[in-house]
Amino acid sequence: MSASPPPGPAAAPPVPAPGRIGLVFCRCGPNLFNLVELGPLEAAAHWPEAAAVAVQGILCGEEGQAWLSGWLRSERLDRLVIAACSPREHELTFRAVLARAGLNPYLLAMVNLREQVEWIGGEPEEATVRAERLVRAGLARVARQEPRERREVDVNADVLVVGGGAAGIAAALSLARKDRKVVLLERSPALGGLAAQLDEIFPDHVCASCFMEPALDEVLHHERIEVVTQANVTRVRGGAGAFEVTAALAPRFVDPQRCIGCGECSPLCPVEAVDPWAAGLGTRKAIAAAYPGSLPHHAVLDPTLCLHHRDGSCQSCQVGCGFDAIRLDALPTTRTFTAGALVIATGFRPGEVQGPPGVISSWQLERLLHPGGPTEGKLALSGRAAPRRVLLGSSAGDADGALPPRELLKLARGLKARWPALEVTVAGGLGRAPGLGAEARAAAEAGVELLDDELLADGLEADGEAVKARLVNGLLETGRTFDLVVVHPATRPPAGVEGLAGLLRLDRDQRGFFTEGSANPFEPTATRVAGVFVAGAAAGPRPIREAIRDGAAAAGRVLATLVPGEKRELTALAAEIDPVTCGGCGTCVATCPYHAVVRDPATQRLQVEAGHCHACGSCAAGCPTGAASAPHATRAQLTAEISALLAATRGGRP
Amino acid sequence: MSPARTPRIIAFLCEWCAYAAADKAGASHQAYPQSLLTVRVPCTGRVEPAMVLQAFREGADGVLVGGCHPGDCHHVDGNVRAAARLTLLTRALEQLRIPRERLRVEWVGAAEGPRFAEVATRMTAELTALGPLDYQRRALDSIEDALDATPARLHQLEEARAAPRAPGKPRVAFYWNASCGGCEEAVLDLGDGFAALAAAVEIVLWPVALDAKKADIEAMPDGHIDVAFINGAIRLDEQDHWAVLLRRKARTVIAFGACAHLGGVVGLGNLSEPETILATAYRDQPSVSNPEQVLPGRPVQAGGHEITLPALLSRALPLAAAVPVDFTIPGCPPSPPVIQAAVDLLLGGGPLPPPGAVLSPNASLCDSCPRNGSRPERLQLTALASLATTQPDEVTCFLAQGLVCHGPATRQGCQPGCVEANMPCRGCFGPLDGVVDGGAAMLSAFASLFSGDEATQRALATSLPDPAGTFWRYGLAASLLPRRVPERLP
Repeated sequence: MSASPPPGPAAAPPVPAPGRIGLVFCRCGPNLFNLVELGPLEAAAHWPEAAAVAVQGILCGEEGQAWLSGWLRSERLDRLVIAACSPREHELTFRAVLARAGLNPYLLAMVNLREQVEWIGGEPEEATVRAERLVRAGLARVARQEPRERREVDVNADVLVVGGGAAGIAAALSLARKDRKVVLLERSPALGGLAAQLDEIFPDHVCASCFMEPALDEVLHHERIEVVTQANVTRVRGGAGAFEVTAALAPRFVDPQRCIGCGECSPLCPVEAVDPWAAGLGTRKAIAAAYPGSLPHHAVLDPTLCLHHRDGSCQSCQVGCGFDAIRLDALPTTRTFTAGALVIATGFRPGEVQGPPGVISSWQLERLLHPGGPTEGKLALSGRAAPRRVLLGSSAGDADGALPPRELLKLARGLKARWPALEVTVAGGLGRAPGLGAEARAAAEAGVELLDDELLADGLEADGEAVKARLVNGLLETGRTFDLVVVHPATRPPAGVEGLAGLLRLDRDQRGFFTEGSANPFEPTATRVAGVFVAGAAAGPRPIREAIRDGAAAAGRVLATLVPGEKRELTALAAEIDPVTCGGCGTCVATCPYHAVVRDPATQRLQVEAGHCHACGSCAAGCPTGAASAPHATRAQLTAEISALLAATRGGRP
Repeated sequence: MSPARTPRIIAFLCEWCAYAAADKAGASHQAYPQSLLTVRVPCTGRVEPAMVLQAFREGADGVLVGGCHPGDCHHVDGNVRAAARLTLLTRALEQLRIPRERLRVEWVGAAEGPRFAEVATRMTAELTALGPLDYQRRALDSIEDALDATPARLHQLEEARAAPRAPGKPRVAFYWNASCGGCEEAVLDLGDGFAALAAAVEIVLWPVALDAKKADIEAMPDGHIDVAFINGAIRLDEQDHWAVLLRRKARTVIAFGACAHLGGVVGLGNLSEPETILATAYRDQPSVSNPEQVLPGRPVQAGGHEITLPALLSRALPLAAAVPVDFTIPGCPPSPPVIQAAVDLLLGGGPLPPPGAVLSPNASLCDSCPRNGSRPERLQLTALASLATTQPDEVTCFLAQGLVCHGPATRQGCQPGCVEANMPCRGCFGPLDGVVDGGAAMLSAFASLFSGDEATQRALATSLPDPAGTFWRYGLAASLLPRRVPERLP
C-alpha cells in the first residue's frame, strides 16, 4: 500500500518518479511567520524527505498558482506538501493546480500552520517546534498517499414511499403527476391507512371516503406508481440519489391478476375470528377483503387463522374460487427497489382501552360510525341496549396534545347529528387545547355537554349495566354514570418502526415517533439523513389535512432537490477490502453507516460497493484482520503521521 | 526534559466538526496552548484504538479525539462508534495505570471555536498537572538495561549460524521458559508423529524429559543445534540467559506456543508491579513462611551454600523481544497438526518461509468456524453476555450471543478446539500477519458491533469486565503498551 520512500535529490531520475515530494511554505501575505519562525524551517537540508523546498508569498493567488504549476514541472515533482492555511480553505484550490499540472490531485497534503498554529498565539520557539512536527507529519502522510480517480454517476430520480396512508399517497400522487416513478410500499394488505377507515374528518366533517377513494383509485391506476402491499422494509443502503431498499413481501395467497374481489371465498371459509380492521368489534374469515371497500380490492388470506396453514385440513376457498385465484401455498418473497429519495409515511397506531363492557376507544367509535364498519354505522354493541348517555373523554396521561379534544369534539358532533336524542358529554381537556373555539361552540349549539376542564380519571367501573366514570378537575373529583364511555387512548407508533428507524438511522422521540430532525425550517419534512423525508403521523399523530400537507411538502422537497439528469459524485476514496486477508467476519457490515459492504456469496468475502461508500473509514477502524482500508486515511498513513508528530525534532528538541 | 514542558497531545480531529472548530478558534485568534499534534481524519469512526496506543507508546502525554455532537455526525454515527470503542479502550488503559484524563473524546461542533479552544486548554492543563506520561522511559526502557546485562549477548550470531554444520541426525532442543508446561505436553500430543520425530532426530536438550546441564550446552560449538523449540515468555533473567545461549547454539530458533509468541497468559503479570508480584508470592500469602524476607535476585545461604534465585525482570517479554526468532508456532498450546506441519517443514529440507513467519494459516478463525453460517449479516449487539452466567447456545455464533469471541481477529490452526467445546475463541493463536496489536484490533471489532445511542453504547462498553484481560489475554506482553505504567520511576 505505502509508496516507496522518496529518493534523495542526487538519485533523481530524468523522468518524474513516484515519490518526488515538493514542500512549499506560504507566507499568506502578512499572515504567517510572525510567530512561527520561518528561518529554521525553510532550509532544504532540513527536509530530506522533500525533493524541493520553496517559500512563496501568496500561493493561492493567480500568480502563486502559476508559479506552483511551473515549479511542479521544473522540479519534476509528483507529490506536494503545502504548509499554509487550513485545508478547508484551499485544499480544493491546490488539488485543481495539481490536476492542471497533469498530476493526480490527491497527492497533496496541507499543513495547517495559519489557523491552528500561528493564530493561536504562544511562544515563538514552541510554535516553531510544533510547526516542524506538523510539516514532518504532512511529508510522512503524502509519501504514503495513492493516486485516486473521481467518478460520478447519474442520480436516480425515482422515489420510494413507505406507507400508503393519507400522507404517503399525497406524496406519491404529487410525485407521479410530475413524471416521477414511485414505488409505494404498504405494510398491510390495503392502502389508505387510518384515513380510509374514518367516516368524517376534523374539523369540517368532510366525508373521508369522498376524497380518499378517488385518490386511492388514481394511485392504483397511475402508470408511474407501483403499489406493493404487505411489504416490510428489511434493508436500506446507499444515500441521497442512490438508495437501495429491500423489502420482505408477505404472501397474499391470492393472485391479484385473477381475483376480482367478488368475495365468494369468504362464506366458504369455516374460520370466524376477531376482525382487527373492525377495531375488534366484529369478526372476519381467514380469507376476505381487508375491510369492505378496501383497496386494492382483492381478497387476502391470514395464515395465522387459516386451517390449511394450521393443519392442512381445509382447501375450501381454493376449491370454491371461480377464478382460480387462490394460492394456498404461496411463499414469502423479497424485492429490492432503487430510488433517489425515500418518503417515510408510516403513520400511527391507535391505542387500546381497558374497562368494563360499555367502554370503547374513540377509534372503535370511529369504526362503529362508519357505514362500512362492523355495525354498518349503528351505535350498537353486542348484548347491550342502545346507549342513552355517552361520555367522550381523555385522560391526563394522554400525550397526544390537541388531538384528543379535536377527535372527541368531532365524534360528539357526529353522534349528536345522527341521534339528536342522545345525551353526549365531552370531558376531553378542551381547556388544554386552544384554537378549538369554533368547533366547541358548534358542539355546544348542537346540544353537547362540554366539560372544559374535566378529564377522565383512570379506573372505569361497571355500575350495573352502565359505567361509572370519575371526572377530575384539579383536586375536584365527581363520579357520573354513562351507558357508553368512549376514551381517546394515546396513539403509538406502528409496530416495526423501531427496526425501520435503525435501518434508516433516523432519530425517534420518547414515544417512538420519528423526529422531524431537519434543523432548517425551510426544509419541511427533511431529516438529518439526506434524501430521507418523514411525512404525516410517522412524526407524531396529527390531523389528516396536516398529514396530506406533509406528503405534498415532502414531494415538493424531492422535486426541488432530486433532479433527473443531475450527476452524483462518487467518492474517490471508497474503502477497499483485501479478499486475501478478509476472514468474512462481517464487522465491517455492522459498522458501515451506509450499508455499503456486501458479502460475495461465492467467496464469502466482503466487498465495498463504491457507489454507496462515503469514505468515513469506520470499516477500516473496526476490521480485526487489517483487510479493510480507507484510502487517503490508510493505517500506513496515519501511523506514519503519528510517528512523525512524536519523533524528536531535528533541532534536537524532544 | 523539563517537567514543565507543554504536554504533547495527539489530536484526532474529524474534518467536519472538531477540525473545523479548531479553524474557527484560530480565525478568531482564540489563544490556546501549542499542545495539539493534529491528525485530520475523515470521521472519528476512523480512529483505531491501536493508533491511540501507538501515540502513548511513542511519547504522547494525551490523546484527544474530537468529533461532531451525537446526531450531527457527517457519517451518521461514526462518532458514537468511536465513543464505544474508546470507552472500552479507556477502561483497558486504566488497567495500565493510564488515567482517563489522558484519553479524551470530545464533541465540538463546526461553529464552536471558543469551545474548541476551551477543550484544548482544559486538557492541556489537566495533563500538565498529571505530568509527562513518558511511557517509553518509564515502562519500557528499564528492561533494556537488564537484558543488555546478559553476558555475551548475541555476540557474532551471524557467524555462528553460517558455520558449517557438523554431520549427524538433526539435533533438536526443547526448552521451557515462563509457561505452564502445556507446550511440553503438546509435543507428546503428536502421538505417532512424536515417535517418528524421536527416531529421526537427536534430542540434545529437553530438561523436562532428559537430564541436561547448562554446561553441556555451553560446551557445544555455536550453531551445533539445528532447531531449538523454546516455549514460554521471558520473565526471569535466567530465562533470558537461556534464550541467548540457545540462540547462539541453534541455527533455527522457534518461538513455541503463545507465551513465547506473544507473552501469553504470563504476560498478564505485566498488569502488576514486579514488586507486588514478589510480595504476593514471597511474603503476603498466608501460606508463606519467609521470616528473612528473602526475595529472588539476591544471594541467600542455604545448607551452607550461597545460591541466587533468578531475578524477576520488570516485565514479561515474548521470546522475540529477547532474541531473534526465526519462526513461531502459535497456540496455547500449539495443536498437533500445526506442530507436525512445522516439524515436517523444518526437517523436510524444502524451502522455508521468510524469517519471522508464524507457522499457521494466515487466515481468520471466523473463516473456518463451523458456526459462521449462523451469524446475522448485520450483527447489532444491544446486550452483552458473560460466560459466568450464560450457557452458550451450541450452534450460534458466539458474537451473536453477545459473548466476546476472538475468532475474527485470530489466526487459524487450532482446528478450532474451543469452539468445538462450546467456548468462544480466546485468541491464543494471535493476530494475522500485519496486525500490530491483536488485542486492540479485537477490541475495536467487538465495540463495532454495539448498537444504540451514545449512552447505550457507552454503557455496553462499560459493562464488559476486565477489558485488558479480555482482549489482551495472550497478547499483552507483545502489545503496543505491554506493561502497566510503574508507580515509581525506574
